[in-house]
Amino acid sequence: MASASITGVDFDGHKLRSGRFGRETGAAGVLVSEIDDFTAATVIARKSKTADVVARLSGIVGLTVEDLPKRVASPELAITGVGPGQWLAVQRGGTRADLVGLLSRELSGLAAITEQGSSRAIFHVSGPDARATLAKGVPVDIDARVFKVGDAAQTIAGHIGLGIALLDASPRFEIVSALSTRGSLLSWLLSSAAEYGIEIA
Amino acid sequence: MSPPGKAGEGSVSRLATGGMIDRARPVSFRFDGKSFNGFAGDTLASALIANGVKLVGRSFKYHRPRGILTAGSEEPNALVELRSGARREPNTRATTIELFDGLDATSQNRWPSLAFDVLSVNGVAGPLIGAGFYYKTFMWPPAFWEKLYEPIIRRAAGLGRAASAEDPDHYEKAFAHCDVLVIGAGPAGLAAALAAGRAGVRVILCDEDFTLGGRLISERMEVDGMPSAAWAADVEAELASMDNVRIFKRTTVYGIYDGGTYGAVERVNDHLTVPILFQPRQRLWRIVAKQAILAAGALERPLVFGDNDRPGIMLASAARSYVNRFAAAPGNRVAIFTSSDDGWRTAKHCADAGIAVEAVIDSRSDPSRDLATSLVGTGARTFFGARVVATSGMRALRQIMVADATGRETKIQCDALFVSGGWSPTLNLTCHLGGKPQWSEAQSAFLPGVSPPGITIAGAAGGAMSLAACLEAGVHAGHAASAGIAGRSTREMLVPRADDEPTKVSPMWYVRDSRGKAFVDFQNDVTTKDIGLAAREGYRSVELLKRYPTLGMATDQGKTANVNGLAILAEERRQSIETVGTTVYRPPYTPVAIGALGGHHRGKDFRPTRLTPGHAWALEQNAIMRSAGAWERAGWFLRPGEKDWLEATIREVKATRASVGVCDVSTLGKIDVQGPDAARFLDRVYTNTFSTLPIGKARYGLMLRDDGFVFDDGTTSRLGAEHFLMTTTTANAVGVMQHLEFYLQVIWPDLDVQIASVSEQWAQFSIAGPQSRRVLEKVVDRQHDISNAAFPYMTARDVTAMGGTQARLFRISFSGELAYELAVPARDGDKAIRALMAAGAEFGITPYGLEALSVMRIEKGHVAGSELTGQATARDLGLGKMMSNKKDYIGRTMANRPALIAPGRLDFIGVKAVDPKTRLRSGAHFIPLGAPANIDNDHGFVTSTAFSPMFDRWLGLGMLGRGRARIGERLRTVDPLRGEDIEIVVCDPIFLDPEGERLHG
Repeated sequence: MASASITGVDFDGHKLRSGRFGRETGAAGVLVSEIDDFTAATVIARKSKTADVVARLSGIVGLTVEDLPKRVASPELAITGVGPGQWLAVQRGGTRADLVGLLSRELSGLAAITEQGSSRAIFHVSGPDARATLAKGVPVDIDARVFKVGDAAQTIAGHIGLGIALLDASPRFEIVSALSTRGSLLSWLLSSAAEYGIEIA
Repeated sequence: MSPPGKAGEGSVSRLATGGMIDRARPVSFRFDGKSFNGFAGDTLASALIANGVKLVGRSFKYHRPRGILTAGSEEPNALVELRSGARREPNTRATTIELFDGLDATSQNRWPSLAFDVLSVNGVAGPLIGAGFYYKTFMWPPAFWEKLYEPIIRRAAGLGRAASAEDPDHYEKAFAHCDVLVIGAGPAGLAAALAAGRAGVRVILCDEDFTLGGRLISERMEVDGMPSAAWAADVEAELASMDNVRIFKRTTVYGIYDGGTYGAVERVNDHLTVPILFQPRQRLWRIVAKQAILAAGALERPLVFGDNDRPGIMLASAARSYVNRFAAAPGNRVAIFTSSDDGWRTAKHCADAGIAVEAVIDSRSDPSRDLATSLVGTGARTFFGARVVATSGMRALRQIMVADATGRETKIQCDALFVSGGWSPTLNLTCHLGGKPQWSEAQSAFLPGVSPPGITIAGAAGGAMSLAACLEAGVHAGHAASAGIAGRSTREMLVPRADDEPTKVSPMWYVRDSRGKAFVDFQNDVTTKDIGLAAREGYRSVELLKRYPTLGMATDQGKTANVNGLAILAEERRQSIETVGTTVYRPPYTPVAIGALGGHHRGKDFRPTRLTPGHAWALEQNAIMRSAGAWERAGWFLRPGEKDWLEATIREVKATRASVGVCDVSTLGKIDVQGPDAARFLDRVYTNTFSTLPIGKARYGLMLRDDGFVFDDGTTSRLGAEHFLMTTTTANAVGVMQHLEFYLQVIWPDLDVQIASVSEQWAQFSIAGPQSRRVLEKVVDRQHDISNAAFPYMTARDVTAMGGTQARLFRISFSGELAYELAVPARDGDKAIRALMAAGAEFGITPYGLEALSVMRIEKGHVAGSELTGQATARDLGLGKMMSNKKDYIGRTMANRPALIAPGRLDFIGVKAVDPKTRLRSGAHFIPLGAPANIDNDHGFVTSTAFSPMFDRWLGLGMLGRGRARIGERLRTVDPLRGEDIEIVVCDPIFLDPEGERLHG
């Protein structure tokens, strides 16, 4: 069987090379960088405690957290709604103990905290052709008129479950997916971005 | 380019001026190995016409010479093989192929050559292959089918040849969203898109052509005082300048689906020999639209008369397209046969282009005589109440015979005959959600019945046939579709000005007194006789009429044939067309390549692959990977000198049981269960009790489905008073999570329980064998006492390993050995497996794969996927003791249904061959000694087998009727597939260490 990846890059074994792939001329239409200095945890509100959890989480991050598919972030901590009464907290830098300890203290009796720092792969996808690239797999409407900065969705791309959020209007998207499908996700992403040229940081 | 009239088929038929071809950009191409020239803007069909090529293919059944009938995607005749080698694409319509430099096309369905085709004698053998020939001629004797009939039919009746090599090109899928989707960019579609675009809503405009405009660019009409083609170009420019409008050219909307979803295929690079590097050949769009406007136009119908299929006979509207849009003359001396006003327009356009119009034959006796005034001075003869009754010419039309109202016949020499039988709205998409077309006697056409939800039909697709009516319908539809959309502008555009040209038609379905085969469906060679035969044989329903003579099937789905066919059937049955009714249409509107439907998902990307944290390490260890669902897992680790999986597996099992082995079990499902009601919840989920489980302990649990059959099993550990970690089988990881979510959300919303999948969070390794503790003592940090006394069987605790790395250690065993599972965060998985290997080096630690895992569990008699089939109860599997009597749990009541507790059910047992050297086979059936191997004597089946290195023989597990009572009995296992019949003895499923001494060591 020929290599299915239009770029000829093989992701067997999790390896990701940095560099330029796909169309070679002109500026790359898509920029991808992997975030790997993070720890993460799911926060699931206990029965009838959602409002309390929203208030505490807002206090922790210093921004208004809602029980909605939205992402709010301070420089260190991002909180994304991933289901009714459920959030994913992602902390850049820091340690597992910091995040799980902080959340467990602040949300004691209000929510279940489950460490997830190793379970996810996180990518930032930006560039003028980021939207066109993501639309080759993501079925939700990510047009700028509809999917605004701070909006998030739990969805799929290429049969791979993922979370997507818009970080800034440049546009820059965050993709949060399972660690085990990281290779397949990158293969889809590279194939989809190849015609625009893709730069992997 | 060769000068006109020189060198045979040079550009003899290219008009000197006009058209939308770019004469500054000549393009060379090949057809059947011969080189030709055309221009950018041509289709293959228009370029062939411009080169005087009339004969383009042979017909499906009779191998009759065929030319070009249409100028669009409805083409039934001019099918060619495009490109060569791996990129060869059969049954491509010459009328839709955008000409490109280096294009190489070949005619198909002919042998040995297009001009001389051996199988055209089928025309003589016609009576044998009439309606229903598939079902009749070739049925007897049956033995002839495979060796004789099928090969002959395949050679004779096949359409083009598919490429035999793998498609080298890339295809992809994409999603698009809009407020208003406009399907078709003719006058109605352009007007609708402009109205919606100016209103500021998000618009997507799709058209299958490479130039927008539809009939606007094939006619010579005026809109707002400018030529219609120029108006179309102006509208396109304005739409392109709007950032709320996307224009998809070369894009066919092929299907309508639920919830405002539309399927479309974009031919991104079909107009190039090889796609632009890194671009797909085609892109499949899923478009989600709040509102859609169907402006797909209408298709002209041919007329049905004897020998109406000769090359040179063409739809009148197609002739206008070739003359006006492509500056290509489909004939030098032409005649027009029409039952509508529309045909006269073709005569006028031909005459204006300098083409000799020999005659116009109007089947109507009393059309407006004004129609003829435009031809005064051209020398064209006009016939009213007349019809074409015969045609002649071997490979191209040379002469027609016209019968006037009195029956007097006149010969007319001509090399082209343009036919016009009225127009049929392109309403195919309106049927996709169950809509049924309605016959309109006034318009002599089927019109859309009820519009599908969210769809407005505008222009000719809805029966508005004049330009003015189309523009008006388009503007109104554009405004109406935008009206409900938030943020729209209320500024409305004016309807562009255009004339209401005459569009009257009085259909003449069939020239009964004509001579020769009268074709209704050109692609399937269905004649009027076939329809008559079907009617006489009693095929009354239109659905059967369609299928029996194969009317309206294959690549064109009868776009030019269906209405004529129905009308002729109605005549045969002396009923109205309305009574006869119509077939409906399914997606796709035109053929869609399988490659486009597959998109990115082929080869290694056929589906996503999940890799464990130990994957890279396993590859270094020469693991042979196997697919386990989406996961890639090591099947075995092949060492130098080992010839196969069996040798490797035997070594891995022996080493594990003798010393220590390690296996990546990260794929197990893992679910974090928390909350005040977590223990109560698990008591309800499992058949056995978990609320009594002490903190720091693990317990094997069994889950039933609510119908009482076994669902899944696994060990679940208690990490805290309100905190458990559940494990599931790899196969059911997702299913169990859904099961738990369902019960929490729907059945027991009162329970305060939170669940989260942590399958991805934890890498997990099984360390098994008598030396496993000594290996772990070197990996788990020293402060954690894992001695037998401090860490007995079924202990589960948080520890640290490798100098402070977070970890969980479970003393559980699937192999039956002293064994542990060490879990670390997935990102530390690679580090952990390397640390385990280093620590185990002195004990000869051996990585083992799925095969060895399976051998060891069979030796221990543990059930796994082969036994947990959804058809076994807990009692069947010997797990009845796990069904608590003290509490309720999912499946309890249903597990006690009479059939599930009846004696004689299949029990889980072990199997050994009487001859220890004999191999057992999974899937073989238990048959009593001496009994015939048939269903009456079938007592059950073997579920799992393995060669056991410990016993030096094959062992099996199976399900046997009343099996537990038959331990020691001799039976046979019969495998009819392999022709094996083996004497076996039934035994206890636990072969190794039934007392469990190894576990507790």
